[in-house]
Amino acid sequence: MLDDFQPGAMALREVDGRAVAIVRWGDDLYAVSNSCPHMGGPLCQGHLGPRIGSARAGSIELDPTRPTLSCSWHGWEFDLATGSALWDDEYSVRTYPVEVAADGRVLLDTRRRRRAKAEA
Amino acid sequence: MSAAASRPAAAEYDGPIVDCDVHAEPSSPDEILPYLPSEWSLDYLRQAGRTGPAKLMRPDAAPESGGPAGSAPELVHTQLLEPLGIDRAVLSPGTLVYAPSSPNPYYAAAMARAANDWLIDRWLGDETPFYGSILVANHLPEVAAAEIRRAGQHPRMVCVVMADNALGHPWGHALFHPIYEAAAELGLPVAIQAGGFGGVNPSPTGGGPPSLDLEQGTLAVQGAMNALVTFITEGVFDHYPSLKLILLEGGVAWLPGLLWRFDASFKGARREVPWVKRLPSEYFRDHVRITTQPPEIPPGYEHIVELLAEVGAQETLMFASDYPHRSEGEPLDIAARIPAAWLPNVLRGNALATFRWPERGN
Repeated sequence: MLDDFQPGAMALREVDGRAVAIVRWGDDLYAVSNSCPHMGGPLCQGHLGPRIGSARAGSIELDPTRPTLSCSWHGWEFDLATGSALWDDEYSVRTYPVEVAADGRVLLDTRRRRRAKAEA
Repeated sequence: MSAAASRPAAAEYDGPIVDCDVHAEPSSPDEILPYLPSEWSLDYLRQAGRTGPAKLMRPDAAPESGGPAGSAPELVHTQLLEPLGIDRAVLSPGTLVYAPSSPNPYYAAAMARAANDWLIDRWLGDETPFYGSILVANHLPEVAAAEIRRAGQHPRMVCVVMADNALGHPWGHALFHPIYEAAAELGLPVAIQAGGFGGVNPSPTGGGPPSLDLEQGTLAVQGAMNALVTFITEGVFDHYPSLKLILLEGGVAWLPGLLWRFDASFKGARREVPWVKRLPSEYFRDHVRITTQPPEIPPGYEHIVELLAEVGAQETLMFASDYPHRSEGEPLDIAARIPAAWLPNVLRGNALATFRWPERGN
């Protein structure tokens, strides 16, 4: 159920035999594989936060519309919406489409990948 | 100028060569005095004679008429340019390059200015193969930037050079950025010369200043590593996208390992430096050039060359003799130890694309 997921937090669930990290961020839900594509670190034990960007050296800007997950093992960061690693968008973690049913259940489809909002 | 027929080793490339690191010395301290404000004369004369690592010099490079190695243009011609077929040599002001090791920022700045004016007057005639490096003292970066804008007006000053780090921060630190801003404004690359062990400035090596010459010579590479890494991490190339960094006398064999480690570390530390937009090794290829002396590629170590190829050595290495310094082997030995296909770039092309040659303008 949606109320089982706290805003700004990650929760680990097993779905169809897969370990999935589920994130509630604002009004959105995200689901990614719990296994970091780098060396298999548990992403659910990593850090969740807004995307960190910069227009110039010494300045840091946060984008709360782009939730980012960083692995607790080696710090690799992933965009939750696309699964792409922030240092190279060719490298990514598996994402899953997730939605909330009318009765409040959180539904996950492990057969497909999440589509970015712009593509939906 | 045609390349000399007697030149060894580089059979696959017989065109003219650009030498990116030659040291020009004053014949005596008196030669500098006309360029130095009189209030600093006594300080300079006290310092002169103990700034130079004379034992590192080729003894035959000292003219019989007197003066230290590297002080006679005619010997540079007969011992270096003509035998190797070099038609352009980038000069730094010899042991004066360490004059900014003084703790006195005003004296250091005056010495840098004097060294630049002396180099222009003594060596950089219109018809010579010589080009100059603008020496700056970095104690006061805005003063250094002003000196770049002043001395950089001379068309034969083709880069900026520093050896001593007076600020005690990594070379890429924002405190130095006024220097890099001025260099980028004038289209001048910035050369960092390994060394800078003199005076009271912080040691360029980790763990404190070396006690022995052997330690100094072996560990000087750490200064080059410092410049390469911190120019990228501290966003110098993002601030000044046209800027090139040249690493002098820091060796080359360590590049593959350092860049692999740098890329690997960056992937997990991007959030600390979000202004770094690409892998560090990509910045290296686009912005950093590294000179060949000393090459650290002994005969039989072809695997080092294979690793260097992986990090783009063909596009980033530039020939340098380091004349009149002594080192293991001959400067052009490098030509026999790298692939023949690299030679046009390493011996000439990369340098032509890096320095601000007069024909390129500002």
